[in-house]
Amino acid sequence: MTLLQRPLLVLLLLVTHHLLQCWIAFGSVDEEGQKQEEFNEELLLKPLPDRKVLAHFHFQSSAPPSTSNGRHHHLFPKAISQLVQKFRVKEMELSFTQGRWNYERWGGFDPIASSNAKPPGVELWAVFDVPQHQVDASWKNLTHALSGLFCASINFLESTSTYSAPEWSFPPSSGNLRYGTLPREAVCTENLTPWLKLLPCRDKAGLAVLLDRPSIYRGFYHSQRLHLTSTGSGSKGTDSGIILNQALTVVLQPIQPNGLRASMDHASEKHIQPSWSLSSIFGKQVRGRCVLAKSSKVYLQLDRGLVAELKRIHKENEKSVANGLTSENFWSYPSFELSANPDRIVIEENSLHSKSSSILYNFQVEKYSESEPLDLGLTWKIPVVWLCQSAPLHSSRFLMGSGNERGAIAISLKSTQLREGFMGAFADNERCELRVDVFQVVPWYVKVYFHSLQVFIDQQPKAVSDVIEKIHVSPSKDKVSPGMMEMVLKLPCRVKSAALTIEFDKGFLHIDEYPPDANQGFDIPSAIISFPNFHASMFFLEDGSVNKSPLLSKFQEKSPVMSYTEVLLVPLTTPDFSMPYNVITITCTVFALYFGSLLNVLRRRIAEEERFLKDKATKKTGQLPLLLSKLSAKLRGRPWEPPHSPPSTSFFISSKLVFKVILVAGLAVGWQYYFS
Amino acid sequence: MQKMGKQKNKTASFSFWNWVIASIIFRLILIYFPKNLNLASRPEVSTPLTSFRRLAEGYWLKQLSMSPYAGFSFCFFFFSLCPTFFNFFFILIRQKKEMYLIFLVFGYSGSMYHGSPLLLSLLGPLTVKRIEGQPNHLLYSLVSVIADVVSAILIRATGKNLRLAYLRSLESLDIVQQTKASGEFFKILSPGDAAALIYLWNPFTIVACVGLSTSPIENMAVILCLYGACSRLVPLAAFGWVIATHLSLYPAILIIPVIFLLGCGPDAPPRKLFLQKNNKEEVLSKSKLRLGFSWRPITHFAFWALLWSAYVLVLCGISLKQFGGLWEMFKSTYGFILTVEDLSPNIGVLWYFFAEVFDFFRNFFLIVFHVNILFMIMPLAIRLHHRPCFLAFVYIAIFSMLKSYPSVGDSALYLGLLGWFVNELADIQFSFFLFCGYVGVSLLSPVMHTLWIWRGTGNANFYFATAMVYACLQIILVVEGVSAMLNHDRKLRNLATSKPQDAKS
Amino acid sequence: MATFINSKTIFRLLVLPCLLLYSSIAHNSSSVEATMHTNNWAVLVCTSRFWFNYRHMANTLSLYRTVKRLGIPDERIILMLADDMACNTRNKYPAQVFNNENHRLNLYGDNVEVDYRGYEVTVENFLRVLTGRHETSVPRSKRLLSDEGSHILLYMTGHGGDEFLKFQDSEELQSHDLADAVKQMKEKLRFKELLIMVDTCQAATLFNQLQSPGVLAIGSSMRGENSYSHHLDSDVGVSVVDRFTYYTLAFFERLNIYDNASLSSLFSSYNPSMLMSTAYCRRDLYQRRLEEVPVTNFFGSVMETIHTDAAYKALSRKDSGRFKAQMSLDQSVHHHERRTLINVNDQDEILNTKAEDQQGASTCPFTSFYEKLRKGENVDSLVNYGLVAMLPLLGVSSWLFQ
Repeated sequence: MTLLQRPLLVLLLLVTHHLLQCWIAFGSVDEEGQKQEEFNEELLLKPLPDRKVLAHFHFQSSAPPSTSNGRHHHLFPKAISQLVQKFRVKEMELSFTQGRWNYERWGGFDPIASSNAKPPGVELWAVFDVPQHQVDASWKNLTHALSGLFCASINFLESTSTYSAPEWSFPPSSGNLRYGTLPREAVCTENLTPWLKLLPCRDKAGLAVLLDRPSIYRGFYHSQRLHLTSTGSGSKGTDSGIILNQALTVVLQPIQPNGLRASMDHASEKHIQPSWSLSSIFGKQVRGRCVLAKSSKVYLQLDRGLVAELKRIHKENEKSVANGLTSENFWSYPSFELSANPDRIVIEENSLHSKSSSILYNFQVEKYSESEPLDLGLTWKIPVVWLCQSAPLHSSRFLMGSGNERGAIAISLKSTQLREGFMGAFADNERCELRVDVFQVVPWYVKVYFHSLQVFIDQQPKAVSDVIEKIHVSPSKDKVSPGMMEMVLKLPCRVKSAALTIEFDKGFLHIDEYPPDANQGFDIPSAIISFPNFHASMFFLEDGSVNKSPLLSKFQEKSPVMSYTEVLLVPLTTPDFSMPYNVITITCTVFALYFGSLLNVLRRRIAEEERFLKDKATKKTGQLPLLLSKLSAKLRGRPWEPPHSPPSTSFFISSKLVFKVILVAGLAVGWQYYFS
Repeated sequence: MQKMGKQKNKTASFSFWNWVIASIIFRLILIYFPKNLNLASRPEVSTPLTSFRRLAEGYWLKQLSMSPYAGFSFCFFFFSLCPTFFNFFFILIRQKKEMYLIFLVFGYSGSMYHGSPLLLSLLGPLTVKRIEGQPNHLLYSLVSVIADVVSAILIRATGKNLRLAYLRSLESLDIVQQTKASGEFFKILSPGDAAALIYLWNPFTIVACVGLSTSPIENMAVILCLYGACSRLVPLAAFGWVIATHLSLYPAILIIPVIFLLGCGPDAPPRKLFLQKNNKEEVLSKSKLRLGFSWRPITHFAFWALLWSAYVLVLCGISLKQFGGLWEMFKSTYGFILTVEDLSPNIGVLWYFFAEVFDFFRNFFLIVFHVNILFMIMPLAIRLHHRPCFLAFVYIAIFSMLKSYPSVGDSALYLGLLGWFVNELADIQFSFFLFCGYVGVSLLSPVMHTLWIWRGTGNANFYFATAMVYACLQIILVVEGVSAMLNHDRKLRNLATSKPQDAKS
Repeated sequence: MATFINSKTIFRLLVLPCLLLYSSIAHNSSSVEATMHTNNWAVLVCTSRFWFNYRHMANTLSLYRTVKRLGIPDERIILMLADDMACNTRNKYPAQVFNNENHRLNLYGDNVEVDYRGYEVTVENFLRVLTGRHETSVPRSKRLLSDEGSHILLYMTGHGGDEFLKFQDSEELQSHDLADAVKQMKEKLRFKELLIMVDTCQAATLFNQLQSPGVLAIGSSMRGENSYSHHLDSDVGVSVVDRFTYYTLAFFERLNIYDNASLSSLFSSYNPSMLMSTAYCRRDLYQRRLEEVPVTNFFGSVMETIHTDAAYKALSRKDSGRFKAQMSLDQSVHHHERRTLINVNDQDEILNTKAEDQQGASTCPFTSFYEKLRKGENVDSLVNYGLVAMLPLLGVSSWLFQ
């Protein structure tokens, strides 16, 4: 694909889409009354405190339930609907992620962070509505199907030692939930392309045009999600309605134009945020919407901290205008400047635990076209420093101990600056408690001793039963199932820091179970820390547009604040891969030695014993046997009597010796003759 | 070993009990070292079967009303009400906090604890019980010290029995004065003291005791069985045999020596000798030896064995009622022993073999290695049937060498029993070499383990090589012991037959 | 007369089956011979892991691009990449792979479709793909669904030696394995013509065991020779392409889908002095003369249209098509059966458990006795009491006995 022929293609596609659309219109005539399949595309841009930009694409395509089996899909991807019908998937989420979401810098409290930040690699969970005993079978088939669909080795999740069935700690709690991760799975173009092919107009038109592979994969964090929920039962002929949400979150470093970088060294503009535009971060511009999309919007979000900061700055700057700070004229204020005028501005209703509320600038892509593309840009005029709102406790996880025999996993929770903010809510009741859910899966070769679980609060060891309100462990079984631990912690609100440690032994695998790069180590998938009594959600003015936009309605639904910890890399001891044959042969030799020698001892009889002794006595001629006999005598600690060999037998012996020599020589000759 | 034994019972000649008390004190001193010198986590001491941490894990799971073999996984809540259960539960959670349990059943089966449920309910509470200002597992280690002392005393008593039987047989053959004259058996050592002191002061025993492994208790069961058989206490013998078999499968083959012991008394020279002498003059009348094979004690033994095993099984069934019952237990104890599942390194040779062998040969080699133990039972029984205790010693040595998860505790047992036969095995070959070998291996193998696991500079093969050498040493010990015993019988025969002319043959 | 008739009838009866037999044999043989070229498949394997083997992935991807350009669709290409170079953290150009230091052509374009990648690229999976023995749940995109009329290009690159090819630096593909797999494919009518193209050291030795007809094999180097990389890209930091593949591509870059250059011209284009190794072609198993075989026979998907007046050939192909359909149906049916089986088993289990419960209730009266006492956890205390009770029992019994 070179850039030259893209406009042509786009044009062609536009034409075809027009045709398609009117065909759909016809289609809509005959199936009257029942809802149409819909497709919405949205893009949310957000400046991040550490001079980066977050871009969050959100595509939603929904298929209403239809009575006719074997439906014709106008927009909805056929592959997905087949998946849902074949494996009876009630809800599923698949995410490919590269890089780690930086919870301190990029925030941990807003919906994007808590529901779109994913662990590195592949994460898959699915809820089936099949009988309990069929769940594993359909999970296995689902993983294979997905691996074929998304060009990833998701089928490694089929083996029972890789996935687990969380009971209640994982948000969509249900009996038929299966959860598995592949921390080391590579994410690249071949995963993104099939994901884009699920969109009605793939990456040829609409917002998806921006997804230029090199610029995306150059980013610091990149996570591509596919979340589907099927409403209604797939049984009795009626196809279930499906809602497919595809979200792609990228954190990019804007490439600054040279002029600005030249002026960067100027002392006053040291801390000024980089100005960016779509073309500067993606190398592309939005040329019109995807014609099949019901709505196609671009949002620019200034989050709470930033808005508060801007207001403060503004107040400082102009004492004169005390009150005139309203959202309508906010964007025109001199602190920054947008390259395009927003169509409307959505302000978040002030949520209880934050000073100010975030602002969304809405741009309708319909207005833009080939001739004047939307190249949304943000230019800062004054330096701004702010912080994103982070989760109540910042969680991190690390390994303790050295050596390859045993170690310990530690999960540490540190309180963030936010606490004072939300403590206001709980200040009234004295013994307020902060509930924290921990969900941890460890592979079977990390043998966890659950009895060694320890809890430290503010560096003080605490009784497990004081802190842990509820725990559910399912110990691992060698080569069959991973160990799983779900906990509910009740921490006092004033807690500064809390830590959980649990010890483990490192298992030893069979030589075939090691991967090709065994010395790189093995991964422990990241734990999930969630705060059920904090909801990452934004409330907006009840307004038609908000409900119409799937992105904002997603932001509005109450979901607990979640965060993933780091993936741990555990080095395991490796056997010697090179010499299985040696080990086998030597061990068998030892066993043969045992067997043969013991049988030999038991077999001996007196008579031949006597003869044997005589022979030994007679053979004791020459230096070496003499020394040997001396040595053995020493070992036995007995006086050594010199062997007295009767001279009569010596000739006999010599003749025997001669005979032996001749025999051996004859054998050698025969051998030689036979093999020449 | 032999030399050590001799030294010991030279010293033991004046005071046996002082040495016992000294050994107890020595153990206590070691116990009071911080963290038991990390002996509890040594691979030589704690195998998956005898590990203390696994026992604690199993007990924890059980207290959380999960199967100790994690047959299910449950979910539970802590509440601070229901004081009625207070005095029952106070061991249950480490702090005096009550709890109330909610089950959700699950299809898992864990891989941590593989011991017997009886041990769990006996020793489990001791794993979590703490005494302020005392080392963590004081009570537990006291139990193992007591077990060691008890088994030492039993060994001593058995040794005395053996010695009596030995003297009686000598005088019944009235070759005592010849033996005295020949100087070989001038001073008949007291084998009991020797064996007991070897067992008590063997560094292997001490390490196994301080390292909190369960092997002292298994050893005690085995010794109980032998003692009962020697002193003709059939119920005791049956009890020991059942418990030992229940704890670690292998002692099951001790039934053969026990039957011989009960059937025709403790060790004696081969019966042919007596018969030969019978033709000459009536030895039988004056010797108190019963030469016939009496079946009554055997039937008693069978009865008691059945009784005890039924008793033990019922107890296990009760304690595992809610956790999948006995089948679960058999699967994860005996099954775990027979199919070598855990490949973590130990002083045996099987772990590395099964870590490297190709999967499609695995079952074949499993069968071969286990049959290897069984093969030798019959020939040994035929050849040594007149010396049941020695037969038992050989069996114990063999299976402690070839078992799937051997630990030093097992070696400690047969090295202790070796002391019983100081007289018979006086002229064993390579004794000095064996002694040096044991010392060298027990020094080298920790070094190799450290190099491989902790430093990362070594290789698995180094550690495996020491395991190989250790196996070879044990093989030599067994083979030489058997041959020495056979030679001894031969010598006795020569003495007995060539009585008229003087005994210089 | 009657006897004559009888004999006649008997004769007829005898003859008829013979005729039938003969006709069937003839039909079979004819159908086997007459399978015409239906479709093209390509199996492209990069067997070596780790960043410094960048060039092997570049080789494979350039072949991938070439065969796509020459018209083999993506669903008929099985691409196996043993490692992820494009998004490797060491890659200075994320999501891009180049096979030339003038980064003119990004091999890892916008829609590359990798079927097996990373740890999946094992000898087992490779042989499964060739012989078509998969689990039922493996998706179609990962299968080589070729039929008796298809031409298959099998390209492998990696580190090899005398009669073996290393996979992932941990296991090996022996030449015997390859030969057996190919023979199996032949037996199963999985290909009509097969071109094996291998770019490793001593590649020619990999073909020594091949026996099946219709197989053509090209190796980059003879026995005892190494095959070298072409040039090093100082930006990427590793050498980006191997010589053999480089000159193969150089040959193909000149072609488009409509040229009909012959295979012999391709082989003659290999210049040992440029390759620094002698390309070896084993053509004794291949019937047609290479002069009139166009390269698009394997590297592209060009159907030559043959006008056939016989109807049953078309029929036979239809049959094969139907056969495939049935296969897929079978699989689904198989699923269903499994489900039902599982159901049955489960019911059995339930029954068993019930039975066990009853037994447990009936067999040992101890338990029923303890049932009453038992409250929650005091099973433990019971067991302890039992163990304690053991000792006096033991003492008494042994005391009584002596």
